[in-house]
Amino acid sequence: MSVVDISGVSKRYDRVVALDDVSLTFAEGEFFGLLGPSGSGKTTLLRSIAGFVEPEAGAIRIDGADVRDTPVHRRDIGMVFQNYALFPHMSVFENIAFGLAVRGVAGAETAERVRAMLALVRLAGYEERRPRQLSGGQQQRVALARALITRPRVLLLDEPLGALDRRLRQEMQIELKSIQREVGITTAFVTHDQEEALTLSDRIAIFNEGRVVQVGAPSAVYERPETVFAAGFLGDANFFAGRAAGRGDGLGRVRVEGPGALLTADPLPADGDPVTLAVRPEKIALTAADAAPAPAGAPLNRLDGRVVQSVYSGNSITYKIAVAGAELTVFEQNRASRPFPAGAAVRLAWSPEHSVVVRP
Amino acid sequence: MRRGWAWAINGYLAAVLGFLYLPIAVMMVMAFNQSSLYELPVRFDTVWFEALARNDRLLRASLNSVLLALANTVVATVLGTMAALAFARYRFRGRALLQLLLFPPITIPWLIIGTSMLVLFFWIGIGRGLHAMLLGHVALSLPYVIVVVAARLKSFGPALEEAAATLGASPWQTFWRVSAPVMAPGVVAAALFAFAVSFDQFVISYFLAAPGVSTLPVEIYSAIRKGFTPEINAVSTIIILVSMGIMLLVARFYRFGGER
Repeated sequence: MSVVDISGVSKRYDRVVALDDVSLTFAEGEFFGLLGPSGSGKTTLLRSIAGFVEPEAGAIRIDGADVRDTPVHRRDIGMVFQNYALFPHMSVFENIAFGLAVRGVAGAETAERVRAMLALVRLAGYEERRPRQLSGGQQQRVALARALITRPRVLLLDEPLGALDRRLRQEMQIELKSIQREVGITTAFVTHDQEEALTLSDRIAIFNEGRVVQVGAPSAVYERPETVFAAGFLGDANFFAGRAAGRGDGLGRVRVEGPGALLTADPLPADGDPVTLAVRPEKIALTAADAAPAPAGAPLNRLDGRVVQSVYSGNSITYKIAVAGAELTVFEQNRASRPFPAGAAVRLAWSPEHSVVVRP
Repeated sequence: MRRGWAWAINGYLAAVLGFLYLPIAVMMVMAFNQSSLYELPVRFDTVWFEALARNDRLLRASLNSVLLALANTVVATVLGTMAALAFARYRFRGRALLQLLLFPPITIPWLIIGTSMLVLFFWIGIGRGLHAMLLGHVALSLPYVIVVVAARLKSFGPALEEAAATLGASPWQTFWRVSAPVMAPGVVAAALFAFAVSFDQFVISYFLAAPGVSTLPVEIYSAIRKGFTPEINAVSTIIILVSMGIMLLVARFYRFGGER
C-alpha cells in the first residue's frame, strides 16, 4: 500500500516548466530520495506534497485520498526546512510542543511526548534553550523532533543537512537514518548531494528539467543508469559514443572511433545504430603497460593509454588517462605501493558487464 | 600622527553633538530661568512652568496633541501592519505599483501636502478640525509604519509561517502564535514612529486646524508670533523630554529587532 501516490503532476511558473508529468509512489516506511540539480523540480514536488505549491495537472494522494483541496495544516505532514525555520521567540520545548499546542493536547501529555522526542534526538536537558543558542546540528535535531511529534503520515525533508559542514553532515546522515527506522515513518527528502542520496535512500528518483529520469534502489540506479544524465549526475562516468556492430558469445560489440570495438553485456539496437556506453571510473583496472599480460580468461575490454594526471587523495587516486584521443577518468584504491606517475604507459581493462548502454 | 587624528575625530564629534544639543540645552536652561529677558546668570525658578499650568490654551492644545497622536498611532499602526503583511506575504495585482507609490509622499514637502489636503478636505466636505488632522497624520505616517514593519517581516521570511502550517496551525493560529510575536518589535517601533510623526507635526496640523481647536506645535507657533514668553521654553522642554524618551524607546526596540 503506497502512502503517497503522485500521478501525472505538472507545474509551470510563467514559461518555466518546474514539473513535467511526474509520477511516483512512496511505500509505507520508505525513505525516498529526490535527487537532482537545482531547478530540476525536486523541491517543487516536495512543496506540492506539503501543499505550498498547487500543481496544474495530476493528483497527489496521501493514504489514497486526493489532497488537492486539503490546506497545508490539515495534510498530516511533518517538514524539516533547509534552514530549520525554528521559532526564534520560543524555547526548544515550545518549538517541539508547537504541533501539540495547536491541536489542544493537554499539558501533561505534551510534556511527556516532548521528553520522549528530546530523548529520541539526544537533546535531553536542552528544553529551555533558545534556538539561537544551539549549534547547527542541534537546531537540525530540534527541527526533526518538532516535525515528528505529531506522528505525521509523511515526513518531508528539504535539503535537511545542506547547512551543516561535511563531518557533521555525515554524522547526521547516520542519525537521521536510524531515527527514521526507529519511528518507521514514510519519508521523502530532497538533496542535490549524490552521496547523501545513496547513503540514506531506500529508493532514489533522479530529476532533470522537471522530469523524473530514473527511479530505483541506490545500487540499481548507480550500477545500471539508463541515461547519460543519470550516469553523470549520480557518480562519475566515462562515455563512449559509437555504433552497434553485431553480437557474439552473448556479448554485444560497439564500434567506437579511436578505441575500436568495445564489448557490452547489454542488449544493443540494430547494427549501425548509434549507442552510448557508460563506464564507471572505479570499474576500470590499471596495470603497467610492460607487465605480463593477464592470462586469457573471460573476455575483457582492453585499451592502452598514458597517465596525464594523477590526483592523490589519501585512500584513493584519481587518474586522467589519455586513450586514443579521448581522456578517461579512472579511480583506484590506493593499494599499490607506488601510484603511476604522470606520463606512465598503462593498460586499462574492464568487464563487458560494466559497459552500460545509456540513452542520450 | 595617529594622536593628531584622534584629536581631530573627537573634536569633530564634539562639534556635531554641540551643534545638535546646545540649542536644546539653552532652551531647557532658560525654561528654569526666572528672568523673562534671558538675563544671566541663571536664577533657578519654576515660575514659567507654573504660568504654563494656568495657560488653558496651551494645555488644551497639549491635550489635543496627545489624543491626536494616540489615535494616529492606533490607526496608522493597525493599517500599516496589515499593509506590510500584504506586501511581504501575498502576491496580488498592482502590488509593485502600490509599493512604489508608498515613497513619493515621504519626499513631497509637507507644505504642499498640507495645502492639497486642505483643498481636498474642503472640496469633499470634511473641512477642518481634529478629525481632518487625524486623516492627514494617518496618511503621513502610514508609509513610515509600512517600511518599518516590512523590514522586520523581511528579516524572517515566510519559512516560519510555512513551518507552523506544516505543524497543523491554521492561518489564524499561525498569525497569533508565530507572525505576531516575531514581528512585534517592528510593530512597536513603528507605533512609536507614528506617535512621534503626529506629535511633532506642525505644517499639516496648521493647515487643518479649526479656529479654537489646535495642537501644541500650532499653538506654540501662534504664541511666538504674538510675543515670545518663556512659557514656550517650559512647554518645549516637556515636549523635548517626551520626544526624546520615545525616540530612545524606538532605538531600543530597533536593537531588539536586529538581534533576531
